[in-house]
Amino acid sequence: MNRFLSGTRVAFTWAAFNTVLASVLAGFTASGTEGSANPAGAEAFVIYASSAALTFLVALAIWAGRRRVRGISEPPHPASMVILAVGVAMAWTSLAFGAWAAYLATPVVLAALIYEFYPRIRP
Amino acid sequence: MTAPVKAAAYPSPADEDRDGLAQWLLSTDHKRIGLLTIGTSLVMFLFNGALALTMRSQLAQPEMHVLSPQQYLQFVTMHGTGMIALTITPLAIGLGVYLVPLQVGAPRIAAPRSTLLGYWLYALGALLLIGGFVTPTGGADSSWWGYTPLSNSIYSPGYGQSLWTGGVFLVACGAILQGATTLWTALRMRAPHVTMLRVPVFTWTSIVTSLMVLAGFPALLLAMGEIAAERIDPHAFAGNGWNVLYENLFWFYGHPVVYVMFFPFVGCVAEALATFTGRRYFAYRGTVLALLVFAAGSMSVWGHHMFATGQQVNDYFSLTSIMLAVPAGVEYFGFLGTLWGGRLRYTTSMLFALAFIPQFLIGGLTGILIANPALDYQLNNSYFIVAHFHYTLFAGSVTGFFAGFYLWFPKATGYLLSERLGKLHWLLMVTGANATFIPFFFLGYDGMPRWVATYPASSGFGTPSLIASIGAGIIGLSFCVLIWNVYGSVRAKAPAGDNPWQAHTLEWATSSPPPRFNFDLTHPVPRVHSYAPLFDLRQQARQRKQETERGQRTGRREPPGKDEA
Amino acid sequence: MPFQSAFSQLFTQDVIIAWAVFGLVLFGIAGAMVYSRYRRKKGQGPSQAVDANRTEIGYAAALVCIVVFLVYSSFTANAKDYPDPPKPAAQVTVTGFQWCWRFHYQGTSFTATGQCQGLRSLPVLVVPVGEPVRLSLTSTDVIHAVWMPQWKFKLYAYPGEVNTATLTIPRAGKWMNRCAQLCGLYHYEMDFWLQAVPPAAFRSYLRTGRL
Repeated sequence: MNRFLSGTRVAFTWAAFNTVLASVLAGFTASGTEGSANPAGAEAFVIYASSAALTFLVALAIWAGRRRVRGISEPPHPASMVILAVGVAMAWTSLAFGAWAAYLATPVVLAALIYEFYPRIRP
Repeated sequence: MTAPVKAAAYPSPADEDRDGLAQWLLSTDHKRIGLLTIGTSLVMFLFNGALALTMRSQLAQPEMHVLSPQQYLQFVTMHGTGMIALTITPLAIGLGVYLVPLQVGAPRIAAPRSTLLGYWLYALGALLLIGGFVTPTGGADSSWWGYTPLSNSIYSPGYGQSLWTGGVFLVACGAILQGATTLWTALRMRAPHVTMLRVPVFTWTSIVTSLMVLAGFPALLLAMGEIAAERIDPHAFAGNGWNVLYENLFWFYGHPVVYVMFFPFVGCVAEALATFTGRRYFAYRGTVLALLVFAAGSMSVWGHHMFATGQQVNDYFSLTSIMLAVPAGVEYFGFLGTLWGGRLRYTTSMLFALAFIPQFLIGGLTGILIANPALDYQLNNSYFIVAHFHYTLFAGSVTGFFAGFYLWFPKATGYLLSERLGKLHWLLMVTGANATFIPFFFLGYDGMPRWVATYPASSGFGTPSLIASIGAGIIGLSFCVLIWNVYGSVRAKAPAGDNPWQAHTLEWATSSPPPRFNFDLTHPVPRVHSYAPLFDLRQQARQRKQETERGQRTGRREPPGKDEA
Repeated sequence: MPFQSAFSQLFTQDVIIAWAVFGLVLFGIAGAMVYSRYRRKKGQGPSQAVDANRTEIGYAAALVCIVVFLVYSSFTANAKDYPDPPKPAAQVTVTGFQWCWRFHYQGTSFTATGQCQGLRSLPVLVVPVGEPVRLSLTSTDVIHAVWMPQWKFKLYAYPGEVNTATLTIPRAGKWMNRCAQLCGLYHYEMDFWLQAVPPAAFRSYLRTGRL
């Protein structure tokens, strides 16, 4: 068991657990609900099945990353992350304050993207 | 298949980061990002706690006027969203960001800049949420649930609810990013010989937490998207199907999040129990399996928040909710098994761990009660539920957090905390928590609903409410003691050393605080044979010493002890 | 009243089990603390045991048995709450709105309402003693919920949707009920009375609007 259980297998096992539980819901959906006649179970099942599929995607990503690259490196310019976060936050305030906030946010997000990718194009 | 480790890759102490605010805020060192996250969460704790104290003043007696109904709803919304999204979830995830690379012997976290981005999305989301209070229309007031249509622009016009929607969205994105990088680190960046079944219990709790974050939090993003759409054009979403969809999406996140706010603190308690009983953690494999099953199960129960809606498949969700008692019971087997036969040391950390076990259990057992629709029809949306989740989250998770806080503070800062003040903090917090939340069970059973700004004198809710409010004051006092302790410790600077507790896991093999890349030439990653590597090393050293002594007495030399595979 | 009887029986049963579990765990912790002192006195170091697999498996099996019992109890109780509904003696449409209640007795032109703000003259839902009453819950704005704490009944009221339940109140009396889903500013005042009267008095109430 010590050798058998890898990171990938943990992720896939967990995805399998989710699939089993979602399938049980499908069985209950057929029997109906209380109170009113609603296709409540169908909606719940769709959401659950989507999440179970997502857990498989996560497991797939873990599997795809199995060629480990060890060692350490100092990542370049973390500031682009902060600028991106500020831009996205500004964009969301447009829901409260109006579209002009989104217009203000656009150059900020662009600046973050430029700061992130420009050094790679032109090192 | 792996690239060979370059021996020259470990930096010398001269390469460490300069200090300064900018270096902290832009750091790609997971320890700094983790401390930023935890530190911000603790500040949020004080803010949301102050909201709670004000609410408890308002509710201490019938028909008081400390807060207007409008203010009360804003406070209860911010307290709920704030404690869940801005305090306990980031505490849980932040602990993982700090500890997981250390515990698995990794020099850094996966995707450090994404981890940093996760912090900034959380911090800015918090700003948006709190920012609602300074707008002319005030903060959001539809409770932390934000049910439609109450949260749409017809029934909640104003800036606060919109800022709330954006804030919750951003914070959730931050959590997803940090959960993803922590998960990747644990599954893909462990040191050689650190197999999955040699990973410490805390890291396992962080793994299942991250899995739930990735599986459950996207539903919250969709739910916030729905509110955003309904605030832009509410009439397009007039059908009740949209309201039920919102509930399903919200609770699909809303249940896993409470387990996100639980498992890492189980990990804290597990590490504390093992350390302060002087034993390896008991029934490790059963615990690992139980964690995986428990986390999967926690994705399957969300409909129990909808039992009284008439819109859900109640029997299925009752089955899955009650079923959780099995992995939970197995976790408790690990706790009690570690305690039984141990040599207990009653440090502050251990006291918090011991208090966690029965206190969380009260929350868990009442959770099994309300997993029955026939009981939930009475208890849903009453103070009984408020009691239940404050027991699991405060008397449980936060208590477990402090077991970890008093354990790891010396590692993170290099300084010891006062044990005397720590025990006073513990005493006040345990007293206050029970005094506050036990009356809530009776209030709910007797008919007090949630989200009420006040209640009539004829209701009979006055006396239990007063006791609860006094208890809340005691909790507030306990936090003053904590702050005093931390302040005094940072001033006194009593050096902690590498391993003041004789703990078992890899973070204790390095310096306090750890160097920039966690381990260096003076503190290399030791050879790992189990989930308690330092415990193993101490045991081996003791055995070798005994064998050497025996050899000296008999005049023969014993062969060196064999390493386990 | 099925909601109340299902609640009482199940609550008593499950609370007893919960107390038993809680007591066992407390006993376990206290015992471990005492045992630790004992071992220290005897000069023994901490136990080196790392697991007890057979005990753990047996324990997990016992937990599964308890869970099966609890799930069965839950399904049975829930079935009692929502059986095939009996033919009702009266049908009432209960409409929640910001921030009070309206009761329309179906098949008549009679609607009762009241004034909730300041708890001045709360609306009264009058029902006949001992006869099944079908409630149809709905809303005209946001989500509300009807909660009858004395009768252990709760059900949501949605806009554009009807939730139904059948209640039979076994004795005469008057009980306070509340809104149990946050619906805005005056959620805390959105109360109403449930009053059960003899069937003859109920029919005269429907005709005259007075008791």
